[in-house]
Parts: sequence; C-alpha cells; structure tokens
Amino acid sequence: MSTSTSEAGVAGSTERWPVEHVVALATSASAASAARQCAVPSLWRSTGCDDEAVWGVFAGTRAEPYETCVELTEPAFRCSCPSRQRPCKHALGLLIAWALGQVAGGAKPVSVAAWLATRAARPAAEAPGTAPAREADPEVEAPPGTARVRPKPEADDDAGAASPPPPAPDPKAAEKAARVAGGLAELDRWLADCVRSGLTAPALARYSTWDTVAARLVDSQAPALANRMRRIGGLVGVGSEWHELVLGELGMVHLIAEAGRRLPVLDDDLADSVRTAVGWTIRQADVLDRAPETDTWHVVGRSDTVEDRIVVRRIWLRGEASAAWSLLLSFAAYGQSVDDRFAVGTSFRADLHRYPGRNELRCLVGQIHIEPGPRAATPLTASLAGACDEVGSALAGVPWLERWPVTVLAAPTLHERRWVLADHTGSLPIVGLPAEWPILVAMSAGRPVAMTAEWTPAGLVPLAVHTPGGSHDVGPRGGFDQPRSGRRPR
Amino acid sequence: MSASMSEHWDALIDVGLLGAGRRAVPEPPPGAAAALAAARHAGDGGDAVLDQVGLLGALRRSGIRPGPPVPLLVPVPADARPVCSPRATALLLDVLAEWPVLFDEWFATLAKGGKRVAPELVVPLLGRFRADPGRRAAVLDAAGPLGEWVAELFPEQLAPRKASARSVPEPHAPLPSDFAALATLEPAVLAATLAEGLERAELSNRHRPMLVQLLCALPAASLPPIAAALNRAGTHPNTMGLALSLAELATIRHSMIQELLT
Repeated sequence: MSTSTSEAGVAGSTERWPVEHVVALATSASAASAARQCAVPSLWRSTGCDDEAVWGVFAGTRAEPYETCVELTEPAFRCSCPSRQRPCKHALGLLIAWALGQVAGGAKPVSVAAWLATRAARPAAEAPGTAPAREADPEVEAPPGTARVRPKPEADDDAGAASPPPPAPDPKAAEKAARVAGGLAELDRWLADCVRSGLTAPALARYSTWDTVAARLVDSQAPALANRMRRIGGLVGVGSEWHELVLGELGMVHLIAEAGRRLPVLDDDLADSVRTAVGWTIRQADVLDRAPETDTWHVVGRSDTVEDRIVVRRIWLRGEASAAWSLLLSFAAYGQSVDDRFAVGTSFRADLHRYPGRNELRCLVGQIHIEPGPRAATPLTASLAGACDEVGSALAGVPWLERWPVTVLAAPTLHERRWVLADHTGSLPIVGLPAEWPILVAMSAGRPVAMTAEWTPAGLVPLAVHTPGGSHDVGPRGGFDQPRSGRRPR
Repeated sequence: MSASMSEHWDALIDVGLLGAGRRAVPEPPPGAAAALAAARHAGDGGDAVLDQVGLLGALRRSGIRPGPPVPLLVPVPADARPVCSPRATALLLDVLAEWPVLFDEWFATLAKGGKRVAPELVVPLLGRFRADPGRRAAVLDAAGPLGEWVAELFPEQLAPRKASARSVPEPHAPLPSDFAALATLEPAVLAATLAEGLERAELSNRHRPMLVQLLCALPAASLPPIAAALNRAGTHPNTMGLALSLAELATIRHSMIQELLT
C-alpha cells in the first residue's frame, strides 16, 4: 500500500528535513502524536537512507513486522501495515527518526529499489496531481466498501504502475459490498412501503415482520442494522408516543441506508461511522494499531442489554485529563459471564485505542499502566442544558446515534406522575426505570446528585449515581441476575 | 425548532401513522429544510415522508433542549447523625448474607454509636423487612427522616405488609446451663476450652446453635482471642468447618462493634 502527498512543500529536497516538516505531513494531531511514538530507533531494524529514499522495518508491538519506505523527492510512502491512513504512523515515524539523524546511510534493499523503479516508470498522466483514471464520480452511487476514491489532491502512488501490476480488487470484498448495497436498497424500499401504508398497518404490529426484515439484513451482511430493526420492532405499540419514536427511528435508518450507498463521497470519518451503523467489522488488530489515548479512565456507568440472545455490556469511561468519553463493548452468549474487569466506581490508567469514525466512542484497552482501583473523586458533571449541548453536538455529527453518555448534577423528581431529572436549567424524562430506581432517589434525598445516564431518543436511562463516598451501579442488567458491586468505599 | 417546523413534524407523524398513500405529504415550511427537501424530493409519498422525517429527525435530535423546569421534591430534612463508615456498611451486607443472627445487634450498636445507616441501604432494608414490624422500625430509626420520605414515595415497594408468623423471628431459647457457664470464663480460658473441645470433636455441629448464641453473648473484647484460637483449632476433619465458621462470626461481630462505636 502506498500513497504520495504533494502538499507538504518539501518536494525535491534530499537534505534531512526539519522535524516540523515531517509532522506537517500528518493527517491529524493524533496521527502526528502516534508517529512520534514510532520514531524510536529501538522499534526499527534494517533502516537506511540515501538521496532518494528512507527505508526500514518496523518491529514494534506486532508479531509481523511492517516494511516501510519513503521516497523523498515527491514524497511518497509505502508501508505493509494495514492502516488506511496515508501517510501511516510508521512512515512518518521513520521520517522523524531520519530527520533527527537516527537513520544511517546505506545501500537500498532490492524491494526498495524495485519500488522506486516502478515509480520512475509510471506514466506521466498518472502522476500525482492529475486525476486518476479510476476516480469515482461523487454523484454516482457505488457499493459501500468499494474503492474509497475521493476527489482529493492525494493519489495512490502505485496506481497504474507498470510493474508490478496493481493488486486486483478482492473479489470477496467486492461481493460483500455489492451484497450490502443490495440489502440497503431493499431496506429503503421496505421503509418507503411502510410509510406509504402507515404505521398502523397490522403487519407492523407483528414482531415477525421486523424479524424477517432483520434476517434479510443479516443475509446482506448488515448485522448492526438488523439489530436496530429488531429494536424498532420492539417499540411498536409500546407507550403512548410509540408512533413518533418508530417513525423517527425509521427516518434514521433511511439516513443510514442512503449514506451507506454513498460511502465514496463521504468524509472518511463519517463513512466509517456509516460502516459501523451498518455492521461492517473492523479487525481488533487494526484498532490496536491506532494511536493510543493515555489517561486515567473513570468507570462511570454500565449497562447490559440483550440483543438476539447475546448480552451486550457497555462500560462507559471518562478520561480524567481529557474529559473524553469512551466505551468498552463486550458480548456474551446468554447465560455466560460478561467482562467484569471494570466495575463502576473504579479508575484505571491505560492506553485506549479508539475505533475509527466520527464521534466514535468505542475503544479497545491496550496497555494498562495502573490496574483498576477505587476512584478518588466524583466525576465531572454538567447541568441538564450542558448535557443537551453535549448530546446535540454528537448528534449533529452522527444523527443516527442511539445513545450518548452524560454525567449530570440533577435531582430525580416526580412531575405529572412521571419521573424526570430536574435542575435549574430544566428537566429531562427518565426511561427504563431500573429496579434500583428507589435507591437512586434515596441517595439523592430530593437534592441534586451526580448521576451518569445514557441519552436515548426516548429519554435518559440512569446508569449510576456518584457520591463522595463512592458510586452505585443502577444500570440495566439485561436479564442478568448477578451480585452487584454495590457501593465501592474509598 | 420553530413552531412551524414543530407543526410540520406533527403533520409528518400523522401522515406516517395513517399512511402516505392515504394522506397528502405536507410541504415543509420555507427555509433550508424546505430547500433540502425539495432537492431530495424524487420519489413517491413514502420516499418523500422518509426524507423529511430523516432530515427533521436529525435537526430535532441535534437541537435537543431540556424541558421546562419543574418543582423538585421536598428534600429530606437534615439528619445530624453521621453515616456509618463504608466498612460498617460492608459488614452489614456480610451480616445480611451470612450472619443474620447479628442483624439486631448491628442496628442496636449503630444507634448506640449515634450513627445512621448508609442511604443506599435504606430501600433494600425497608423492602426486606416489610412484614417484620420490629426490624422495619429499627431500619426506620437507623435511616432517620430519609426512611419515611422514601417509603412514602414508593409505597408499592416499601409500605409495611401484614406480619406473618414466618417473617418474624422467634426469640432465642435461653442458653443451656453448661454453655452459660462457659460465658463466665476468662477470654483466654474460654478460647482454649472451645479450641480443645473442637480439636477433640467433643463440640460438633449439633452444638452449633448454642456456640453461635454464646459468641453473640460475649463482650466484644473477648472475641479476638477466641477467633484466633478457633482459627488454629481447625484441624479435626469433623469440626474444622465449624471452627472456621465460628472464628468468622467472632471476627465479624468484633469488627462490627468496633466500626459502629468508633
């Protein structure tokens, strides 16, 4: 995999560049940070450089080393890592090490010489800055997951190279993309039929109708969307405002289906969010290769839900220094135990690796620097209006989000026979009252109390209450009946 | 969201409910939403409603605001007594799970120490002793004003139920004279006597109720040497479990009294 960049203003230089010039090639601040962590000489072997290129083998944490090479004149990058980011952190890290004088001169390995020869033999029409022949028309729908070509200044440096020929498209990936696109188109037709005949149509009152649609989506390799359709089916006829909730959700699914058929013209992060909403999987190894976010993470909420006989556990984390929200997701077949390493009320210091996507909260835990232990302080809180701002910002970026965590300082109160959370800025409805709701009310004693909840389109789902003495987990158990951690004394 | 946009949303909901095949699709009010809807309007009624619901739904969600302020509940009057320590709370959970024989003493000692029970335990305790008037009263006393306050808010879960014979514990029978005599021994002597009896299996599981009662009647200061002796005495295969269990009781009771009175 290789990409060239012609925007950095360093083309033609064969002297060692200032580090700032290298960092300027990074696609984001986090990418630059990740690159710096790769610029450690001990992580590299077989490094070398000459007037044309810098090369080396990154032998960091992965079992399989990555061969990395940077052509200095353009510059152009090649790395065998699976990252979709170009230049990747390894290429930039190698360049930083080179810029710092940590890469000695030497003779090119055969593979580097061959790559450079390939680039030199490339036809001028396919040089960077010219429109690649296979660039997609943004107005033309393309199957999701197919070549992510967008009208950008960058162009694949190996595109159209004479020798070796560009790798043929993966037929399995193309088949999957076509299948997903077909599934989304079929889903959108079904949604339109629903709205045309009305939500009161008897068929929609039968769960089997939704289950059938979901099964088709599973066949189309869109499992996340399938689960969402099952959840929507579970809303029909429940509560006095079900039709508004269901229609709103169908609107969101329509947005996903539309976006899923226009992936090539979406921003990368939004396209990743769409893929997540549809149910495309991403390898954990690829996530763990992303730049870590190191912080002390407070475990502020937990919820267990059952989806298609699988228990889904969500652990909500808040960074102490960054105030960033993160989500640890784990799954267990019904009856099996779920991941219980991170109890509400504890903190741990660790590297978290975030999944790609806009406003993405899901992370994987990398290296743990300090094991979970009792938390020392009450988590950061917001007013209800402040929490709405947080939620609104997230939804402005990704409208189909189904939940977003908030920690508020508010009092539970009864209003017109319904429980709500209230403060001086207003009130928000509570949904899914947990069995332990009276405990939460008792802990508030009628006064504002720090509480973590999940925003959902129907209202807030309480997860935990935090007092100076510790946290109490009241999150949904999803059918699990296991001992609660209870209050965690400091 | 403006009133006209809100009305448009309501109209869309009505159409969605009854069906775009039976009701005309409403035109969005003038503005960016209308322009976008017009640009997207390509299909029939169902597609048009979906487009507008998706668009307006995204706008509504991202513009989320709290509802109007509402009056808060009348807060619980202040209780000057401090909450018992987290360790004492943890011990109460152990008592409830493993040694209910210590329950009454836990609450009596709490009251003696001038403390109150942790707020998060008030609801579970009131729920557990709904049909036991004596213990419910002890919980309410230990909870202070919070107890009655929360019980009134959740009558279905917490209001007292008619007491049943099964739910009210029977009073302890008096300790047999030979065990009562043990209680008068010096702690060190008593510890040695109990350990020896268990080592020789002269004391066995059939004596367990009396031994438990004896350990619950002893002064707190006697308990540490007895716990230590019982822990060491667990060598006879028939009485090892009993010895360790009694050692745990002595340890928990001693810790409980210490935590609640200091």
